[in-house]
Amino acid sequence: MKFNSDEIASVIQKEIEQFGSQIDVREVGTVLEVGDGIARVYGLSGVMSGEMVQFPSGVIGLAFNLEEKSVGVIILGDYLSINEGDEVRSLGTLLSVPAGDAVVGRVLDPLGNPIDGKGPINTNVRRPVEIIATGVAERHPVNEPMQTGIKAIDAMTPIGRGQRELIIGDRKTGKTAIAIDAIINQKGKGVKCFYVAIGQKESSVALIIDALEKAGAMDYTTVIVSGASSPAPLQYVAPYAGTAMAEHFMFNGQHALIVYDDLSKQAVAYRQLSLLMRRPPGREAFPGDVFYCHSRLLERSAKLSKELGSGSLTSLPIIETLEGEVSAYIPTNVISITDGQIYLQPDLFFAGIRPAMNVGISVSRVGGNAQIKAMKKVAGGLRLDLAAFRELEAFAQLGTELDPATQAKLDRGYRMVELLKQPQFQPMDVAEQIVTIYAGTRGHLDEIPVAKVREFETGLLDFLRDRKSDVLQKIRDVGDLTPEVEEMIKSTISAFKATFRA
Amino acid sequence: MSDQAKKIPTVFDSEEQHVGEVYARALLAAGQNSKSIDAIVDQLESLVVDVLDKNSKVDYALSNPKMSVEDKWGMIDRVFAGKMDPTLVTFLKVLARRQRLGSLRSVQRSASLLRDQMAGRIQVQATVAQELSAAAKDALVENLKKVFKKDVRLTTKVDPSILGGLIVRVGDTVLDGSVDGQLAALRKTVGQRAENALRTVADSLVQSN
Repeated sequence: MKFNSDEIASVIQKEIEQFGSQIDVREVGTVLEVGDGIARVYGLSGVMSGEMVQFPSGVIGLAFNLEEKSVGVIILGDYLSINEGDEVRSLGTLLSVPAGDAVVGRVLDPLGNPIDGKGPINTNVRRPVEIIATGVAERHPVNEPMQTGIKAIDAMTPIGRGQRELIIGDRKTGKTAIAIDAIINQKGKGVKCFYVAIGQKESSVALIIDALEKAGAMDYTTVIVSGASSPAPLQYVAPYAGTAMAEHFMFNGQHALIVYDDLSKQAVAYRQLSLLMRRPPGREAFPGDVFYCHSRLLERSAKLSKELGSGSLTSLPIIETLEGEVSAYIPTNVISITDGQIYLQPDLFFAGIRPAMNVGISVSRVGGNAQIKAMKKVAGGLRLDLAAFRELEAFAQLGTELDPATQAKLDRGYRMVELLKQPQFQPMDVAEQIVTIYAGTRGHLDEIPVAKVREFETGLLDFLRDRKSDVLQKIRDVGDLTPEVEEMIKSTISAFKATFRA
Repeated sequence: MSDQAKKIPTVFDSEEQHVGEVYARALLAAGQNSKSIDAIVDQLESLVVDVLDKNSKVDYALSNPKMSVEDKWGMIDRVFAGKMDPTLVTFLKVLARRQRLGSLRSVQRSASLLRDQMAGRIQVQATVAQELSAAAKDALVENLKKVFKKDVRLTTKVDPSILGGLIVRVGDTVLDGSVDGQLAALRKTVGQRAENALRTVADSLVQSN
């Protein structure tokens, strides 16, 4: 492959000729001290809060603290290349990141620089990292489902497009797994997905990207990585940068899903910055505005009104609790900001219930508005069965003889719990979910032994996909549990049951 | 690391700068009462440049905390009494009592700035690639007066690395008309635009074999 060097030279020459030389006017300051990701700068008398500044090595900083005699700057990059006495120039702009279709499918750092080695991001669209969230008048109530593909969530705590649903739990309880399954389930639904990794091990992020690639999800997903070894200012900015990129789709009438994994680490990075900047520490040494740090981020997820194009941005923030302590500072803050939470508990996880969601205390404040009618009808029964089961669970351990009604409730409960278990990376289509939950709540599983319930479910789904795909299509088209649809489901289940050997 | 340390000018201490500003303000206020501000500021400048910079022992003696205040007063009286404005002599004694004689340089800098501010003058530093002739300097001062619409006090610095043109600094604002700066801007803007342009016509650039 040879290049036309004459043509290349002529293109470059044309650009040089078009270059209009101007005097560059800039505001400058001098670095007084630098270290640990922050710098104090003397001068910069006209700089405004949050303005971008640049160091001689090209590294960008943000004016964080405006003090009487100096400016505290947080350094978005390697601070080791900065010396005392260096000249700092202000750029007169706010931080912005590239957005648009050019970022889809890429792995970026919080400043928008690609780190997947697939070439530069070619786009003219840039969005500011910090904006004021849309007001009340520009929003529309959440009314469309955002299917995560996880039965327990889509049935009991459904998430709608434009909602913020918190995933909260101890370490290693499956928080990221839920988020990744939700992303994988958006295939073919026209939702652009964003995964913001804050303070994670870069090896874990690499595994996640690999899992997304294998599931074909990288075609519509952008990953923004600010790993554990990246500077605290970059970890602090990462969620805002991801939201800015996702907002491009929201304001253009499309739908987007963003996962913040996880916000506890972003709060810790913000605490580091604030303490180094000598801002007074509050509870747990967090600065006083750590609530604002999260609330202004999460308020940007919304469902827009028809006038603005009806786009939406759904967010799944993740918070890690320590020893199940949900009444600590940061978890309580984020719980009060979000529209519901999914609690994951380690004892459920180790008992084999995965996803380890505690259905009793998990909540979705949008609820039924985010479910299709068919799902609403079957989910109601599911919730009642599980609630009754939880009440009676203690009696099962006594080992006494129970009356038939109580025993029936217990048996149904065991089977429903078994039914809600789901393997990782296998999100389920909503029509399939409806059929399986229908089978459970209408008693079709009562004769199947508990240990065989999952096998039955897998077999039923294969049967549906191979031979009765018209039933699934009917459910998708109608979206409601009409008598006709119900009849079709019932006959499918009976047909499969006849062939199933317990 | 030591090479980098040499490139950096004197360590900048903002606390010291603040102290200098406070004392300079007081000095000029006192001078205003006796109507001899210009004389005071010029004498202070001469003190720093001609005496302290050239005689490091005097500098050391004045700022030495071990020397008692009375001794310092005696020294100031003996050396400066007849040759300096009395307000300035008293000022030096006040500084001695407050153990702030080490901040004389920053006092002088701030005093000079404040005097110019009060007189409606701005201090401008110009960096040039080669030494300017007197005529060129005057022309530059005239131009700057027209641009800033104020009286201008010009200091120049020679830095061959800017390759040509002029960098003018007023307070915290820098106007960069240097050749080096233009080349950097050229590299950046043209580089980006050329890259984009090449990308759009990328197919036509490749010769089909």
